[in-house]
Amino acid sequence: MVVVRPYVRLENIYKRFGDVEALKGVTLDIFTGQVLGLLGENGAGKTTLMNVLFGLYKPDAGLIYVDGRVVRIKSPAHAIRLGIFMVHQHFKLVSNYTALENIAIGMSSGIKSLKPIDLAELEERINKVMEASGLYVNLREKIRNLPLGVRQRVEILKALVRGVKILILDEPTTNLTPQEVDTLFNALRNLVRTGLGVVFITHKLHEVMAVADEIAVLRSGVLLGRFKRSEVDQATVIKLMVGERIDLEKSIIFRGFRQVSTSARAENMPGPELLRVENLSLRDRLGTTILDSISFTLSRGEILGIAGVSGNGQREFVEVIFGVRKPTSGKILLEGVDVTNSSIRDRILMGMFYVPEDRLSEGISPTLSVMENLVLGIHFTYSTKKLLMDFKRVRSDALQLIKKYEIKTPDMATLASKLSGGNIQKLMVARAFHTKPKVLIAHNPTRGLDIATTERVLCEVLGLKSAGSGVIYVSEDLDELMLISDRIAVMYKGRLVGSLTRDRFDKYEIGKLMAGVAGG
Amino acid sequence: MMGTQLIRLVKASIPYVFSVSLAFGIAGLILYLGGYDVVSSYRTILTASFWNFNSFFLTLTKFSTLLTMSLAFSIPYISRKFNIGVEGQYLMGALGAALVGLAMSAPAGIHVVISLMAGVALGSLWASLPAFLMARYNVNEVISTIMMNFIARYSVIVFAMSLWRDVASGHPMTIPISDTAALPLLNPSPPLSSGIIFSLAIAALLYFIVALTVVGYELRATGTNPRAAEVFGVNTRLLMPLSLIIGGGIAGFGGALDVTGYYHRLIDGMQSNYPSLGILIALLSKGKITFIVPVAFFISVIDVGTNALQRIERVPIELVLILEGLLLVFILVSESLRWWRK
Repeated sequence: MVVVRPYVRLENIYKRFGDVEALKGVTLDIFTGQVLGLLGENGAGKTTLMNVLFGLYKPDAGLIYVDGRVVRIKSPAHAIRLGIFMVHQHFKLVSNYTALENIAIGMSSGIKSLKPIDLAELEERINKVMEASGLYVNLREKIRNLPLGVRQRVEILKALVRGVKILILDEPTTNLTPQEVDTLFNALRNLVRTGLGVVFITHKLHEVMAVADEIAVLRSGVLLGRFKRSEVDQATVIKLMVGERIDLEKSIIFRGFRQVSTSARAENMPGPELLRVENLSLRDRLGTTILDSISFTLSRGEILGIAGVSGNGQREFVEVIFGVRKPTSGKILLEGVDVTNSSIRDRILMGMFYVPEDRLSEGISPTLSVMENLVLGIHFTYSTKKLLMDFKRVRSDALQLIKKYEIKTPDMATLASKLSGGNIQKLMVARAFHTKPKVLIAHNPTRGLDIATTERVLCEVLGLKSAGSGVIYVSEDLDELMLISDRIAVMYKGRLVGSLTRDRFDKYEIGKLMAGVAGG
Repeated sequence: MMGTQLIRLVKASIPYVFSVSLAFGIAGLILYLGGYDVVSSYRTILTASFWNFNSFFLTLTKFSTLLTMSLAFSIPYISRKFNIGVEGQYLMGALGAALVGLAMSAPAGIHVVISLMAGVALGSLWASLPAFLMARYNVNEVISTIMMNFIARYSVIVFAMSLWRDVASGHPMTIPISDTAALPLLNPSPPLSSGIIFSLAIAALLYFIVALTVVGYELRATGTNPRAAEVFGVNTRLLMPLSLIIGGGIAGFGGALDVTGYYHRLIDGMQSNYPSLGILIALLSKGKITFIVPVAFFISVIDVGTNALQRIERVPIELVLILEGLLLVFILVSESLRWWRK
C-alpha cells in the first residue's frame, strides 16, 4: 500500500478558553479524496478544532502542516489561500446579494479587487461545478429568498469555485430536509471522487455511517480513535463518544436509533383535550403574515412534535402560545379557558411553561445568580405574603435542581453568565421541569447538550407525558422528534401543514412537508 | 464559601486601590511641579474631614446629599434605566419642600413631614413625565430627563425670584422657611442636621427592597436581561417606568432634606456638582447599594479634603477642582480597564 501524505496535519493542538480546556493535544490527519467524519458530542471540541484550522482561533500550542509544510494560519482568508474552506452552522452570506454575487465576494483582494469581476465568466465556471457536484442553485436569486438548504449549497459552491482541497462542514444537516440531506451526501460522494477532502462535523452517528470513509471520535478535547467506516463497530464508537455515563441498553436515544422496538414505548390512547388553538394568525407591523390560521389540539399525555426548517414561524408560534406575543386573530383555550389575552404570569399559574430557543437572549438573567435564575418565572410563588422572597426555599430547591440536572457551577450564588452554554441550557430545562407544567412548550430544548443530558431531557419529557401533561416540542432535529413525539406537524411558511400520527411517521414524507412540496 | 467571597471582594478591589493610588500619584506630581508640599497636601486631602467636628459634620452633610442622589440614580439603573434627571428631581423636591415651608403654617412635627412629602411628590412627579414618555412612546429617558433638568433649574430661579424672594441677597434665593418646617438638629453647634439619618434609613430600606422582596427580584431580573424577564412573565413595561419614578421620589426627598435640614431656603445652584458626583458613585458601585454607601462617603471625604487644600496649602481652587476631577476620572477608568485580568 502506498503511504499517502495527508494534505493537512494537525499536531498536538491545545486550546483553552478561560478555565475550560477545549482541546487537549489533538493530532489529526486530513486527507484529500475522502470524507472524514468528525464525530463527538456537543462540547467535545470538534468545531473548535476546525476553527483552529480555519484560522479563526490561534492554538495555544501545536503545529499545523498543510501540504507537508508547517504554517501559521492567520485568518480565514489565509486558510482559503491554503485550500481550506469551512462552512459554519450559521452561514456567512449577504442576504440582499444574489447567490452569484455572494460567491464572487472576496475572490480578488488588494488592488485587484478594484477591477470589476467578470460575472459571466464566473457563472460559467460555477455552472460546471454545479454539474460535477450535483448541487444546483439559482444563481440570480437573492440569498434572502432562498431556503436554508440552498444557502448551504451556495456556501459549498463558494468553496468549490475557489478550488479548495479541504472542505469543512460544521453540522451541515441542521435545518435540511431528509431529501436535502440525501442530495448533500450524494454531492459529497461525487466530490471526494474528484479529489476533494471533506471534514464532516456531526454529533450523529448515523450520519457519519452514511457518508464518511473514516470516522474520528473526539470527546472532551481528546481524539479517542479513528476508524474505517467499513471496519467499525458501532457500539464501540458510541462508547467512545459518550463515555460510560449512559446505559446503552436503557437509552432512549440509542435504542431509538437502532429502531429496536417501538412497542417498548407505552402507546397510550390520547387523553382528554388540554389545549385547543383555533385559527391563530399573526401579522407583523407591515401586514406580512407570519402565522396563518393555525389550529390544533393537544391532549393530556400527548407529545406534539413541530418539525420544520427554522425560520418558518416556529419562534413566533411558541411565543404566541406562551403569551410573549399577542396574536392578530384566533383563540387559545387551556382546559377550556380562553387564555388568548392572559398574561404570561397567568398562563404560568394555569400550568404552562416555556423553554425558549435563544438561551442567551431569552433564557437567563446573566447577572442574577444561578439560584435566582432557576426560579425565574415562578419566583412569585417563593414569596411570603407576596412581598418577601423566601430565599431559604429558593436555595434548597436550587440545590436539588443543580444536583439532579448536573449543572456545573462553582456554587449556586455564581452568576448565570459564568456558566457554559450547555449548562445554561440545563438550567433552563431544569427550571421548566421543576414547575411540573401541564403544558410545556419547548423550543429546541436539547440544543447544545451532550448526549447524557439530552437523554435526561427526553426522559423528563416522556415523564411529563406519563404524568398526563401535554408537550409542544418544537425542534429542527427530526430524529429527536420522531423518537418521542406522538404526533408530528410541520411548520411551513407560518402554516401548520400535515399532522402525522406515530404509526405514519415517515422521514421522507415529513421532509416533503418541510420543503412545502406536499400537504396543505 | 465565606473565604471565596472574601477573595472575590479583594480581587474586585485591586483595580480601585491601584487607580486611586495612581490618581494620587499624578495629583502629587502636579502639586510638586506647582511647588506645593506634596506630603502635607495628601494628608490634608485624606484627613481634613476628621480634623474637627465642623469639618466632619460638613463631610456628613455632603455624604447625605450624595447618598440620596446616587440612590436616586441606582434604583432605575438596577432595571437598566438611566436617570440623568437626578438634578431636576432634586431641585423640584427642594422647591416643593420650600413651598410648603414658606406658604403653609402647621405645628412643628407635622410641618416638616409635609415638607418632606411634598419633596418626594414633586421629585417623583418630575420623573413621571419621562417615565410616561418612555412607556407610551419609547422616548429615551436619558434625553427626556436631561431636558427636565433644564426646566427644573430655571423653575427654581423663577420661584426664588418671585413671591418669597430674599431681596437682601444678590443671588436668586428665597427667604428662610418657617422654623416649624425645619428638621431637628442632631448637634446644635457646629450644626448637624438629622437628614443624614433619613438618608441612611432610605439606603437601608432600598437595600432591603432590592435584595429581599419580590419586586426587588423582578427589578434586578429586568435590569440584567429585560427580554428574559419579559418572556418569563415579569411586567417590565410597568417596572421600568416605575423605577424611574421611584428614583425621582428619592432625589426629591434628598432635595427636601437639604432645604429643611441644611439650607433652610431654596437657593439657585444648591445642587452644586453633586448630581454628577451622585451618578458617578452609583456607576462605580454598579448600582449596588452596599457599595454606594462607602463610596459616597469616600467621595465626600475627598471633596472636603480637596476643598481644604485651598485654605491650608493655598492651592488655587482651579487646581483643586482639576485634582478632584483627575481622581474621579481615574477611579472611573479603573472600572472599564480590566487589563489586570489579562
